[in-house]
Amino acid sequence: MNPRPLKRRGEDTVVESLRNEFNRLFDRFWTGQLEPLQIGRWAPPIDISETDDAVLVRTEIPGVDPAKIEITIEGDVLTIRGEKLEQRETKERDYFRVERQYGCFVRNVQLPAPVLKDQAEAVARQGVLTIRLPRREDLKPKRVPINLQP
Amino acid sequence: MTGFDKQSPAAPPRYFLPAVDVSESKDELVLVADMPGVAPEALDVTVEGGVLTFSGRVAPGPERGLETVHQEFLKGDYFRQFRLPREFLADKVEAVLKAGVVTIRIPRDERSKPRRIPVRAE
Repeated sequence: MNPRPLKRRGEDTVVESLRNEFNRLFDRFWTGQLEPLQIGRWAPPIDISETDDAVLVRTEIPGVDPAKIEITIEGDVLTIRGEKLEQRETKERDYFRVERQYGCFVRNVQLPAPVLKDQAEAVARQGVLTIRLPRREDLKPKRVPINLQP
Repeated sequence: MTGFDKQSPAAPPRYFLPAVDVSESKDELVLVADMPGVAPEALDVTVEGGVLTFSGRVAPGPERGLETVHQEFLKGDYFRQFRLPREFLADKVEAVLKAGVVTIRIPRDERSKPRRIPVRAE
């Protein structure tokens, strides 16, 4: 009756998910770039990257209605707030496994470079939210040329 | 998480397990899995020998010339298998992908449903 994962894999499921979680904790600890981990609270993973022109912040939000997401920038901190609603079906059903996480989340990200807040763009696609923040030209690092004296 | 567990020959070399909710009603079995970053054409759902396998390739990042500043996304593809109970129709599996969430529905075999036997009064 109960759909079980294949036995060998089933045994590894717990170990593997613990490992995933541990790796994330480890990464967070060493980078020290993000807010302290809030135990027991859902926090979607975040990737931050840079190009010459922009800072890109991506977060995994599968099943989250983009209308339920709020993105704000204050100083050099970007905040993503949202809520993942549990999709309860009306039909009567029994749950065997509930591994997906639901509820409200907040992530604060320290931006690695000054950005143009007013030109920020956010796109949600296939459960991944991508926020593109153009860098501020006037605050980009500049190379100072050295004039050689004869 | 990367592929330290390679017992299944079908598993890709680097993969991790998507989070799955499994529920059952009198009509069907439903599996809902979070697979963000997977496009419909990159999702693969198969049933073979009573084993449901679903896997998804994650599309590469949005732009070229990116320099990673901070990374929490797990690298690799999604892969997971479940053994289906016999009372579900493996040939009638339906999968829908929406906003990074895959919903797989497998109808219950009518013949396995509980049946009330009418009692005739003599």
